[in-house]
Amino acid sequence: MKNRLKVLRAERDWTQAELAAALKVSRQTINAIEKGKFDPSLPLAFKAARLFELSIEDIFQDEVTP
Amino acid sequence: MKERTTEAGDFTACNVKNNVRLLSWVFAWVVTLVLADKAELYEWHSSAFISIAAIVINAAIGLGVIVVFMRHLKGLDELQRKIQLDALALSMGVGLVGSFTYSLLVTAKFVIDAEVTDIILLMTLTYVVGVIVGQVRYR
Repeated sequence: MKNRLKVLRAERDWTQAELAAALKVSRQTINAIEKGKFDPSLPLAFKAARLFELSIEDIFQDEVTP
Repeated sequence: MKERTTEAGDFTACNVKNNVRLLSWVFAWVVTLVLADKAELYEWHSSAFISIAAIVINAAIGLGVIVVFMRHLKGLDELQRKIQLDALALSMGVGLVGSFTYSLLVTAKFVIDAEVTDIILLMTLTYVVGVIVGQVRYR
């Protein structure tokens, strides 16, 4: 699963620690999601979507190509 | 974002608090285990009541460790919990397979003086390695 977390975070000039704080997770989790090493749960994805005021699909995309 | 950074501080502080609580309980459990064992081994007393009391206290603290560990897991975020659960699954698998293999080795007399602590040590080491591997993988 691809995601635009790093880009969205950079646009808002937030650090990983600040984003982690907003989502109430560890900085390690944000780093792992940004690097594509870890896919977040649906509740965490919804939380991120609410924070960035976007839809989940605007942040996370399926990597499967037709 | 400043407020949220404080919240992150709370999250980290809560994790540290949970870790300290867990370590304290594990420490208490190990101390009561060693005391109960050594008291019997070196015959510090001859009272059956004291022996039973020491075993019951150790078991009660052991139950406390389980409860505190479950709370510790609940306090983690989803990635940290995944790392812990992966390590626990690995440890349980190695422990299960290892104990049967060990049992066969004892039956075949390749191992003499088998101790249950050997399996516990194997499981503990596997768990620690599992956590380290998880931390490195998701670094």
